[in-house]
Amino acid sequence: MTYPVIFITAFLLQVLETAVARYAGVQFVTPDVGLVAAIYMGVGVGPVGGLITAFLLGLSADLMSMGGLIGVNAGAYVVVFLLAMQARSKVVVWAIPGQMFMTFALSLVVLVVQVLAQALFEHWFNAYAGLWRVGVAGVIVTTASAPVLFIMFDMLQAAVSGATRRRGHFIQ
Amino acid sequence: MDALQRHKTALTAVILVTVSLVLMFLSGRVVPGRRGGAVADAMNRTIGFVQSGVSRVLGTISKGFDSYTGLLSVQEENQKLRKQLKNMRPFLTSYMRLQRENERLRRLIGYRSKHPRLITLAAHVVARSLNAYFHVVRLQIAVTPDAKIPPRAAVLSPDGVVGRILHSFGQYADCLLVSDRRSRIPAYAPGKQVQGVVIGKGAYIKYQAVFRTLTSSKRLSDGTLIVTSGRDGTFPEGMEIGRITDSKHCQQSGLYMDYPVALSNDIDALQDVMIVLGVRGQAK
Repeated sequence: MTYPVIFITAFLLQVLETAVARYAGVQFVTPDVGLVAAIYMGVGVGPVGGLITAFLLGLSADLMSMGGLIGVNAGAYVVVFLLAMQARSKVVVWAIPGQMFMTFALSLVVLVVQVLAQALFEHWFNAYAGLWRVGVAGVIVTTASAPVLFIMFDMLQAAVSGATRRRGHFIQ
Repeated sequence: MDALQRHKTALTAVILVTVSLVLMFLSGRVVPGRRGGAVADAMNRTIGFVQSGVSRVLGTISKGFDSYTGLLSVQEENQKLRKQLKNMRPFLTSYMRLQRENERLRRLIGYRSKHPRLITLAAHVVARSLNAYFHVVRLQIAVTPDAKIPPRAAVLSPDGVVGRILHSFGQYADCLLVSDRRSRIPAYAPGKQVQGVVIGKGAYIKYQAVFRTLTSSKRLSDGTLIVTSGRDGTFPEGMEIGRITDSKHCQQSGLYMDYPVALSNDIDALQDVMIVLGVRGQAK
């Protein structure tokens, strides 16, 4: 039950971001909601369902990027999910600094994947400096908004499962 | 079977990463303007539908907010006027909005009658790319066209060139803006005999482009008009793109000279656009 709820919430937030961006004036950087959702599932939800949900969220982010390569975020979120799963015993993710650190590190991983994918698969792409610059701005915005999204996913999960605290369950 | 169960997570991850790589490979080969696959089309249609719904809801909220702030400003007036204004303000707000919309539509119609040879289709901007690097907007086409939108079709507004179609799917289409780094539009400066290409800068926060000419060409000054040359067969000739600005800071790179161009369109305020389906009397 957790996967559909997280998927639908993150998907709706992604759609909302694209629609709000239309009213926001200049081109601006939005938090990568799908990435935070993938991290959240990586630290707190079972593996196979979480992997598929992360993949689908990445795919929707790819389609909403309008103009980027399809599959970049899908693959990157799968990698992020696996890394978050491995790191959950090493990083204190119930505290805000831990959440921000993990989001920052994994956002950088996604950025590297994006740049590598452009280099490998899009032969007419030739503007890496710009991609890095916008990417780093995206990493900062995503990192800053991660705690709020974590709290929101927590509340949703608690509402769905009836559990009051998720974190004590999986953090040893 | 037991081993399969044990390595379920790893196996799923490998399959999903492989699917992603295949998707990247396939989408990297898609030339801008060509249609995507059926699955991508279906997903884009669904997302476009949700986006236009959200856009409509936000529009209604902003209308409500307009009325509210309009009423607040009346508080400083005397009691009698306040009463009158209270009654009149919503009508006035609504009237002004209608007037603005009317002006916009009149400009579109005026533009169409100024260019009778152009076969155009009206569209409305509903969303913008989630990725700040790509300067792309999503359009909702006013009436579902019987004819298909040609690949890389030009997108214009009364102020000038907006961009070109990247993908179209049913009632929706993605438009690559002039400011996107992948945008290239053959152009010239009328009356100056200078040919070149307008290239998007892909700048973050700003919508900018440069006019690239040969260094041997005549020097251009601030305010020089840049229009499409029509050489790419996509943009009709003579459509305004922008004007040269800050020509003192033009950059030379090898054989080329890049002049900064102030785009004619205020892309932030862009609402209604026209997609050029073709030109009457022109062989396809």
